[in-house]
Amino acid sequence: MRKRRRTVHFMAVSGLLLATFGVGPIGEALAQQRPAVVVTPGSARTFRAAVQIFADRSEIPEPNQVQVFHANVESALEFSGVFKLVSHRAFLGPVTSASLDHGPPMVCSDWSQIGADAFVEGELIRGRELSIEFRVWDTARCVRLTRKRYKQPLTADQGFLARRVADDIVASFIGMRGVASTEIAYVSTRDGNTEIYVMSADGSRQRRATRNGSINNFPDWAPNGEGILYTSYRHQNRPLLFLSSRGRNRPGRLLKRLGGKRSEYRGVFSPSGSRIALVMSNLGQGPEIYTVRADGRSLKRLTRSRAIEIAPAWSPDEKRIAFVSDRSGSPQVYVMDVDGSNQQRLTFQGSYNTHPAWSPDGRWIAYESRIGGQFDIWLIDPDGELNFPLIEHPRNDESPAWAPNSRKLAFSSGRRGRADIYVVDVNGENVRRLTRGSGENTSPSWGPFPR
Amino acid sequence: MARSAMAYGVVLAAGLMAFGLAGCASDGTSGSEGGSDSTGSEFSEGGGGGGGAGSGTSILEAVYFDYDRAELRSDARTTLQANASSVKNGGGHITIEGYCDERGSEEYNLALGERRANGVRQYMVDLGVPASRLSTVSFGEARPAVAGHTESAWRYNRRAEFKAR
Repeated sequence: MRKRRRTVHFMAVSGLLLATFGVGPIGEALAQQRPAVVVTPGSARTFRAAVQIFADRSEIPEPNQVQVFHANVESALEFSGVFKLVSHRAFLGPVTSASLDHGPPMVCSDWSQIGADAFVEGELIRGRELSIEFRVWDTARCVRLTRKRYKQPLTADQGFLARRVADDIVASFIGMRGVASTEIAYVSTRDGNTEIYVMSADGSRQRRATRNGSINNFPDWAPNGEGILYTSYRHQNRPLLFLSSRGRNRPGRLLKRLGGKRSEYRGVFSPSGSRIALVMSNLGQGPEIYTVRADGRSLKRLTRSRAIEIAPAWSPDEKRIAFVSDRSGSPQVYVMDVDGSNQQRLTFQGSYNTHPAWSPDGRWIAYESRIGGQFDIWLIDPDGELNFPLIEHPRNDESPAWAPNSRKLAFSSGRRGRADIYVVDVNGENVRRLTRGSGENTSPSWGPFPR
Repeated sequence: MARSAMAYGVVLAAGLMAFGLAGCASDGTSGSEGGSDSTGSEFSEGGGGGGGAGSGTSILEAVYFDYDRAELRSDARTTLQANASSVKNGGGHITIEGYCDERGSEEYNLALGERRANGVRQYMVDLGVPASRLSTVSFGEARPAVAGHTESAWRYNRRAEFKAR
């Protein structure tokens, strides 16, 4: 069952790889063979990669262009948590790639001898466009896993292209793309107001996405990457759900057609993007969970009690929803069917468990747990059999959000005194802080793979 | 930070002077739907409404809560009895705003802030204030009255405020 689901996931990812969006692969993966060792998600196994500086075949080479590109690929590979790098000083073979089609034959032993599991070679041509072609080898079996080409306008972000190549190298080894080329939305008070921001998953290119001077919170990416759903007090000083779309100047109210005075606290897209689960309170009634079509129609109420019912999180197959209720006297994580039936309690330890986030591969529900006055992120499997802290740290960690490949989570933490956005691998290692400077940075939402 | 401290000052001043309602129903929320500011960013949107986050005038003394609780403390009940008398003698509509300190899940704190505001509203209705004149809204952890990451700030941030509009 589980195995089958993973296969489906991998196929979906392959489908995405072939789509084009600004940068598009114009070649294709010529070999779809898997490496000798296949890691399962969450495994601590890392591979060692030897990455050559790509051959610069531009008619007029730009100084340092291939070196900068190489540094970006390497740092994105380290970010993945899947690869460690072999230093150029250890290379037996050449540091710089030869021409891919006319170079000498591959000598796998040059690379396997220095402990490299993966060998990456490539070439770069700067003409009317920037063109990159690269190959990934499994040195132990001496098999080429991937050969791929990308083109993008000279004005586009080269760092993005390098992250994209690194994400493909990850895919060739573990069957799941890396997430260096994805984006994270979050909330920051750095400019004095509480606004939504967007950054690359490695923390680069931080920029503001809302500017209405009110309170904006709980960003949630549309699964196609084209919009962000969020809560804002911009209208009548009351929390309401808005959808901002790329390229559109004004955000739209999700539930504009509904009358009455109510608070819309938070909305989250289903994995397919067709529906939205949301938390809404009619005056004095307490927050309840609903689902609605992504166009704002067909509202369905899932919970009915005097208790607090919040924090919906979709299962990847959209058949179940995890949520939080304090019907037992303290906030705990529950799971229900998507029609609201079959509600069952999942967490039992402690008196404060909130903010469930279901991993895209279905294996884990991450949540926030308070023990002894301190908040940590825990992982529990949907059957409630395995339950353990992702990381334990003396400062508060909150608001887990999964990367689309299920290998990383973003979260908010007060480790530095004020709140910042961090990312961590699902095995609890490779913790990195993404936000710097002033203000509180909270409520991360990890965006989809780029198309 | 400066803004939070100022907001706190307003609440205190308003509380000490125990304003009646009449003549005090100014509204800071209008204009929050300002014109568009084309910034060219990918998600640019209508901006304007500076001060949209600053809601109406604080007109009654705020009440405070224990950590992670929504029950009314005895000091809160005393304050609310005075507030209820003022409201009954005045006119207009009051919005009760529920707030929490910064600890814990933001979404849960929105729900807790709502529960605090609803509890205050129900108590004032029980004291004879017409329900139709009281509405509630929760801000959760947003807009702390006092900046800081210790109990000396948190105790003033777990609160319900009263705004005329």
